[in-house]
Amino acid sequence: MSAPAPEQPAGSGVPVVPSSGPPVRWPDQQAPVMPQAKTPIGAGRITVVGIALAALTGALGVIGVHDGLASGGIIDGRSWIDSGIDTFDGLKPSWWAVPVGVAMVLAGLWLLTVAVLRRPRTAVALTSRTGVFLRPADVRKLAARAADDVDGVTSAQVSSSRRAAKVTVVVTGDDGRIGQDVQDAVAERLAALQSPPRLTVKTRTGVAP
Amino acid sequence: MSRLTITVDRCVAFLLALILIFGGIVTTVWGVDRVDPFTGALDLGPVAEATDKSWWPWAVGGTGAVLLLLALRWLFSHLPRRGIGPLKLAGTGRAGRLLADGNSVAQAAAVALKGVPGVRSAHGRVLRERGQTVARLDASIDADADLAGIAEGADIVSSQLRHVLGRDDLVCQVQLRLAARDQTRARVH
Repeated sequence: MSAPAPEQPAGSGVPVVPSSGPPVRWPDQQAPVMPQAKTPIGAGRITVVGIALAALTGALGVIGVHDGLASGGIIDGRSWIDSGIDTFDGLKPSWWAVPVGVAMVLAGLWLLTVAVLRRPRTAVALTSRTGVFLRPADVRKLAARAADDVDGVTSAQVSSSRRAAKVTVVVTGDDGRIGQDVQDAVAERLAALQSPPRLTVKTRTGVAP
Repeated sequence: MSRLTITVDRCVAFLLALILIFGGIVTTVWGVDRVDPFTGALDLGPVAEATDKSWWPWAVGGTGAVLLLLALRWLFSHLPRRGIGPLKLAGTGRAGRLLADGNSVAQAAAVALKGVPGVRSAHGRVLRERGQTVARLDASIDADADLAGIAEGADIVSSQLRHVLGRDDLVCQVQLRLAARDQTRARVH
């Protein structure tokens, strides 16, 4: 496959690459594209928890195999489960059980949230007929760069969540228009996103670091 | 990592969470020592008796071996192995199979995508992700690239890919990232 050949419609944004072979008829811009893939997501905490639980299961397996062999007299040594029973059998209620119990409940609640929470999205979609994605960090960089290019702005920083972005700019002097100029520039830069974030611009007069 | 692995992770985590919450409540109530029947010293006699039975070594050893094998299988399922084999093309039937190396085709699509203005480099592969067969193109773009133009170029490359493979079940994921080094501009303050 190569870049679209001369038969491709003009102005498609894809350069024409000379072809030495016979002319190939490429699909035009309205040709059916591949459907968009699901939005990429990260591993999330559940993956780390899953690996830890798998390791824990392995540890339980080792204890079981050891105790099976030890109880059957195949290897020397005492069963670890018997040792555990001896340690805890006859234990009387005491104050320390309360913080231990509370810690177990808190750990359980945390694990419950990890088990049901969605994994984090690691990309935002661009408007396209197929699936084109940008990383959120890159969206912030693009926004910061667009803000930085506005006349009178000496530096710009952007923080963002899934639906909103906050642009903080340091300006040489605020004429009352610069905030709107920055907002317009950033909005134009991010217009290609499928769901552009809601923008908030904060200006500060001063010298860039 | 497959969807099955994530489902198993979630189910076991959920189960352990319930055990921890229930166990924590029982431990707390036992520590206070004022609510029946959770009072008095811990009696593990019935468990100790079970460990003396003749079937105990077989039961505990067998369970341990099964747990160990399951744990290894579970651990290895977390390894990132998302690649797939050759793609079957239209025309495959009893008379013979028509196969294409998906990664090579996706890489060719990446070369086409590299021709779009603003795209510095690109590479492609076909993988399984979240239950879908995905043609994934990773592209590094200039910081001042025209995003709409790149999306338009990706549409064309995607339609070419669909045209070449002739498969409707494949989905496309073009992942853009800004090039680490910006060679495109110099700024004068």
